[in-house]
Amino acid sequence: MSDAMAQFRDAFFEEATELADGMEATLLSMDLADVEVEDLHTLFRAAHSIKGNAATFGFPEVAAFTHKLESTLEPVRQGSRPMTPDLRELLLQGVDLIRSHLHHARRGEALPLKEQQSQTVLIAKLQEDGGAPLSTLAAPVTAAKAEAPKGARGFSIRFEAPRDAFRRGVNLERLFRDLGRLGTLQTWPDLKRIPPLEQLDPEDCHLAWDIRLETTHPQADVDEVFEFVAEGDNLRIQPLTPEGAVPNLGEILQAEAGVSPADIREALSQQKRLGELLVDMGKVQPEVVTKALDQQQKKKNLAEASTVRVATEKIDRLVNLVGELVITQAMLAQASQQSNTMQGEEMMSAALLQLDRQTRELQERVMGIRMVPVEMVFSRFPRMVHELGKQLGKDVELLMEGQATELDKTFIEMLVDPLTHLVRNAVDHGMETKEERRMTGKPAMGSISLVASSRGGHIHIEVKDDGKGLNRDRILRKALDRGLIAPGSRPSDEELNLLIFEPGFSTVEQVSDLSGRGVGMDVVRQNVRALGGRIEVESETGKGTLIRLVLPLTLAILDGLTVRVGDETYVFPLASVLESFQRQTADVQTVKGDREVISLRGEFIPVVRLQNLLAVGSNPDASERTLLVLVESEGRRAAMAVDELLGQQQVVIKSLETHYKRVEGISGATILGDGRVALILDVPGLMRQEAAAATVGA
Amino acid sequence: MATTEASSQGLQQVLCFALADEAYALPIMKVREIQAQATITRIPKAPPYMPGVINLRGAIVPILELRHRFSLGEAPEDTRPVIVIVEVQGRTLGIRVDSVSDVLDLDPNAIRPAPELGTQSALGREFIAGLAKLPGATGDEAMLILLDLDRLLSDGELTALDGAMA
Repeated sequence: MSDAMAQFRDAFFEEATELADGMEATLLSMDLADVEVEDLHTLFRAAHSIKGNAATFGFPEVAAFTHKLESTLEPVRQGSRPMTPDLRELLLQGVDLIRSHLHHARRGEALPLKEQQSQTVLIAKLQEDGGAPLSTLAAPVTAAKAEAPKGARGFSIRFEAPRDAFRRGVNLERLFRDLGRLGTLQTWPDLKRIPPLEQLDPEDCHLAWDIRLETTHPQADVDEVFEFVAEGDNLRIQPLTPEGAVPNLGEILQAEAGVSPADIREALSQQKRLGELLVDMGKVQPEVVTKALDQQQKKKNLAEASTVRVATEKIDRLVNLVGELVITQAMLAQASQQSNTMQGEEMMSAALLQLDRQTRELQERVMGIRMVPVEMVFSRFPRMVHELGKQLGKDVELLMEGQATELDKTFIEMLVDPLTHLVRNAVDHGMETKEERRMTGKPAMGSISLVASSRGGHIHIEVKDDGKGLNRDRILRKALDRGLIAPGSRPSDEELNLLIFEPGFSTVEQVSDLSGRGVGMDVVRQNVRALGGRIEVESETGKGTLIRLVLPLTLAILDGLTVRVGDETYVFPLASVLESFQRQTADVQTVKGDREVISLRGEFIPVVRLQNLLAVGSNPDASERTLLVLVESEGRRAAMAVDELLGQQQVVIKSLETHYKRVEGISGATILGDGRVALILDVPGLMRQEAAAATVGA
Repeated sequence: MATTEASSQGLQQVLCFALADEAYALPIMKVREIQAQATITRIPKAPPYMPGVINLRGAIVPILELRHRFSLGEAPEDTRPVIVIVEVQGRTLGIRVDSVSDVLDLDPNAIRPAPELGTQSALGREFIAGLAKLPGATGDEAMLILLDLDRLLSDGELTALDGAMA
């Protein structure tokens, strides 16, 4: 396949996925009691576009299935079939199947058997749900667009006759005659389903056929033939490989050599995957194969996730800006030639000013390319809440605000899991059952809100429910049990709330009414921490819980505090710095010989000798460091001993890993005004290192 | 022994540099640029032969201290080390040497395989692509040691880097 074609295919998949997302959103937002005709048109158009494009790009299976959905929607759009909650569920399942089709088609795989079956079941349900068989209703539609999916030239059919076919007096012979009228027919009876003589009930029908039908008729006509014998999964109709595409070997053997499809299936089932063969040969361990497959999967996923769609407007602005920069550069060149004159000097300073402004703007705009609306994550939740509510028998509405808030693309990807956990927990555990809500006088309909907002250099994302709130007594008891807090200490409400993000709390047994908020909560904490953000929890018993993720605007820039330790300059992320003070004013005590702690407002805080911990610098850390920087991470505090505070500034984060490697205690590097490299300290990492060193030393 | 970077005349261009009074050379195709001065930022717990990183126009690039790598001791006070920026296996890396002299065209036929060296030599034979007589030299039989960068770096540094990436 040429590159251009591959590109178009990629565009098709992206567009089709978006259309499917759009269908889902429309389905979920429509008011069933008062359906907007425009919504129905939107659904229909989306299905139609997917179908058309799929056929054009050579995905007949996607096209055929979407065609089914489209035909179901046609009478609804015409007003002859009501939009019922059941139909909505079926259509939602249909959207899922489209996604799954797209997913597999993109990888060049066939739809897994299980999903093929659910597709057949779904199609059958879509047809019966309307009261009248779909084929008759759909007839005018198919007449209007009589072409079968473009390029298809027939169908491969597997038909297993219903067991009671003889008793019901079904005329199977006529069925084949009808089918023969549609085109050229080849059949292979499959007698393997006939049981041994002693078990055979002569009135049962055990016959099955594999049929190859070459026809220009649409699938609806074929469906019609089987109308009275199709029972869910006993009929599978698949379009043959379209003209021009390369057919499967099996298909050719069928057509040319008359090999029966049943034989081909059997042969294929005996064929082993490469991994299995290697394991059998004793060349590799099964675990190795599993791992390799995982890796392959990850690579596939990565390849898919690596594109960004950018608004043309953003690019136009960049192009303009680069144009301006070229002019400024010319100005500078000219000015440097006349640098000894007054005029030249003036010109130079003007140009430099301009360059400064343009560089800053260019930086902002280039960063802006990575920014995508938070809508990208939010859009999945209406469906999820809908499904969860249905599963759990709870009435939940989801309110969303600030979907247009822009976030770095990396953030979007890393927020999917945490937000999914938070929303699921809110519905599952935070929300009471209908009865409980009624008893406490709350409206039966629970509400969950997802709010994104941009506040002073940070992005806030809130997940709020109006459920029962956290049970802090339970949390306290459990934390004591697990040794997460020292007996006798009196943690604040806030500290208790944050304990739900402790890994120990999440995976182990659930305390039944501890709002259960545990599942995957440490994932939330991990990802948010990796993004340089923090979590805040507010909870009021009986009123609900609010979890707020506070994230930096972008991963690429950080507010930092630059400090000097020995001969080196380091940067603390400002978000983790609480305060700094002179060592002399602090109450420093020595414990266990060489460990130091300071007592600050009644709390003992360990002093970390950064130079020792990082093991850099020529002179050993004998001198008393004069300044202590108090930092906090995950509710733990430490005082870092430094020589000098150099200032507070925004730094551009550079990766150490591109050409070097990850370094413990260091989260990245940046370049200072004088061109030197300064390392950015990873506060949680340093604290873990210090804790480990303390245990070894003790 | 002929390597692939032969120019159209069949000559191989190499960059010559000095390290503790010995002359070494690298294939010019591996060299991206030469940096005169750069402040090295030390990396916590880094091995002595790879002590830190520098800023190469915005990229953070690690430095390989060849003197340490070959156990040649510290450079004398009066040398002003030069950093040769090379690209090996997709990574950019700075190699710190005492000084850079010039670019030479070597006749691949004049490159001889490295002789067996004693086991006490830190500069193992495996890092040497070959030896060449310095052309046009004053006749004092000065030898040029051709380094095999790929092998030099595959011997631990890069594998350590790759291991850390996983």
